[in-house]
Amino acid sequence: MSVIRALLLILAAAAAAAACVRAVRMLRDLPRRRLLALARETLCDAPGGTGISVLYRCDEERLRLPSLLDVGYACYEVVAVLDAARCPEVFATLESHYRLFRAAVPAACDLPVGTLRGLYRSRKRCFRRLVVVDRPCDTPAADLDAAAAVASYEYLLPVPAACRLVPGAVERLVAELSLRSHCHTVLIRSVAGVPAMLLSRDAVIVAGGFARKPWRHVPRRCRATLYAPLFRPAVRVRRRGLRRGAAVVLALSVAAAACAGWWVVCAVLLAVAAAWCAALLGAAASAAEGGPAVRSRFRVKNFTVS
Amino acid sequence: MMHDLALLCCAAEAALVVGLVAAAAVLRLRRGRRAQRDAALGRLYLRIVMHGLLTGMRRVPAFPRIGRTGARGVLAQVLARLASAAYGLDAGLLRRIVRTAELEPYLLRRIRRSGGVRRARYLSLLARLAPDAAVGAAVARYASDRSRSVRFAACLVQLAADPSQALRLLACWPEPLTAYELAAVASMLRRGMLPVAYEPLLASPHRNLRSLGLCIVRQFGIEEAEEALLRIAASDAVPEIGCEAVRTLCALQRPLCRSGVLRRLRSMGRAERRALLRCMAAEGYASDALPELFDRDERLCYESLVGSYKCELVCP
Amino acid sequence: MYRILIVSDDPFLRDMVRFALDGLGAEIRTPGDRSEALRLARRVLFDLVLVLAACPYADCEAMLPRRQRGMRRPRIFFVAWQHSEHAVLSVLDGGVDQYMTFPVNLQRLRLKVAECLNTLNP
Repeated sequence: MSVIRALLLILAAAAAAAACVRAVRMLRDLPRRRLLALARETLCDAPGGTGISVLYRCDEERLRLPSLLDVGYACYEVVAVLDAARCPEVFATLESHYRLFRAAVPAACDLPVGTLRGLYRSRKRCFRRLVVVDRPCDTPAADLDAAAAVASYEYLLPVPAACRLVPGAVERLVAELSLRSHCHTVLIRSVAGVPAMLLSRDAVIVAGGFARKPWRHVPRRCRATLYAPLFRPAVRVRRRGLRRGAAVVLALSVAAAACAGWWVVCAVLLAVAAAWCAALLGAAASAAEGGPAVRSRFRVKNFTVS
Repeated sequence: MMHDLALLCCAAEAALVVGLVAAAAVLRLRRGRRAQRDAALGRLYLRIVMHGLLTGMRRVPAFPRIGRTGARGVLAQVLARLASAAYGLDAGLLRRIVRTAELEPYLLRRIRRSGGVRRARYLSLLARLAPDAAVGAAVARYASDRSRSVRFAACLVQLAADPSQALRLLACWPEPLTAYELAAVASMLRRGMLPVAYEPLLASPHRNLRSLGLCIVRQFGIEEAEEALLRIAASDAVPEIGCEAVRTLCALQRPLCRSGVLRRLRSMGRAERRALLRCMAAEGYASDALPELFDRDERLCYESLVGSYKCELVCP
Repeated sequence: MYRILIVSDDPFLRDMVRFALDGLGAEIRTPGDRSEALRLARRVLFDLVLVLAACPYADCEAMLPRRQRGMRRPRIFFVAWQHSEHAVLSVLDGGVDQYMTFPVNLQRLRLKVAECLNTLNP
């Protein structure tokens, strides 16, 4: 029993320490974000050609594509994978909106792609960076492999489900890759916001695809961790009441455990509270960089067209 | 003993929770109040500066509440953003504003009292305010800072303070310039702050100057630099520079079937050659324009890549 | 009086260009963000629309106000950070009349806007 209590205490202390370290690192990232924000515009035409391919599994919400395409960085593309047979309306809408034409499927691919029904590109110049892959619905890893096989750039950024790209995320990744160019970074993980990772294409090929979890084979010296969010949930459900209720319940539980003298239980509950507060701090830090919602002092008059 | 340890752990965790909640509350408050105040003040200062610039004012306008905490920082940010977003402004008036509002001593104080990335940020702001030689000399001590971003930001301040020393400063930079740093220098060029031509850069014995030359050629699309690029691709001692020269030729859509390019391709690894194939396909090079550069497998791969950009006339 | 709409998500650039165009004898509107600007453009007929710091590789047609039936199409100026030929052609294909890059010469921008307004029938 005492061994279990000791283990619980150690785990609680470790969790609290990890939460503290994470919070400190998130706060330390804020000045870096402000520094890179000063130079974000100059990265649009940055030389070196570090390219990023975003891999996106199209669900029913085709609306993510406009936000994914709205990135100013030049060496960037979006590879979208969907099953046109399963979602014909979605595909038809994409085809008409982006004026897609069917291109030849590449014969030789570095990754296993399974059956590729078709590869589509846009006739419009402004959508030249969009590639649509039509293949039968499969596992997420297989879809990502197919997208990676037709991607043009050397870094791959899979999009988590139901998420949108944070403005400036791609430029931030390019800046980080550039600043770490001396150590050949293969993997950049973002632990703030929705977890995401940027992988080098070669690492995915060497591992044999996303199903083999290529991030586990990357040596520690080639990894980097980012404490800035790359993606946000596409639909934010405000559950303020639920969060407040949970906070009150947690606080009461801590107080009850302290009053009852169950200090190990109290330590575990406080560790949970510390982890939650670290997440809140991360969210506050991300929101702080979004800028204030400044109300325009000039009210827009309501004209009518006659 | 276990009881004492548990008590200690609880006390430490409780203090941590309180600290985290306080930090989150402070961040939210700062976002709510100070940021809005700074945004409103920034707008007011921008209006005053723009009015002065457009009416050709000689005397320095008055900036309300300039003595308040953070107001000088707001004015410095406004002037720095204005300097990066616009050019051809009345440099004399901007210099007088900077001098009268004592922005340089303010920023130098902030630089002295901060460290790491914060210091680099203040140095970057200072670099955009067209500092004079005295400021350039004052930041020379940060050229040996532990943090690379501080060292580079100090270099930018010195470049802005004395553009005639640009070539010397960049040649003396001890590490290879990254794409981010090259982009920062190139943005100074675009604002007309650095009078640098690409030809002496491409011919320079210094690696960083050649890198900068390639960056300028690529950004400005200077096709006349083709011969220099071929020379660098063929014979540059630094492999990264040689590969960058080949990629620049590709980005400019110049003919690649040259002996110099072939020589460089032979020294590239497989992954680099594949990456180059993908670049060439994206730039629209025809597959039969490159018979000698790649082996048979790579040519087949390239043909399928090129095919993936063309409309398939016969659907299976 | 001419009407000018400035579209941008960056409040600094909106204000900078707005102040630079003061005194041209035009009514200038600077809505808070792009979506508000497009809603406004559907209700009001503008003579000139200035789009600042938007991505030239995104959906230009969705970004720009559509031509209203029977109405004159507003002139559209696009000012962005991208200098590449591809960016310029993408935007011009989307129906933009003038493409300029940052850093922009504010005097020159003001001159171009004045010339554009002078060619329009009030």
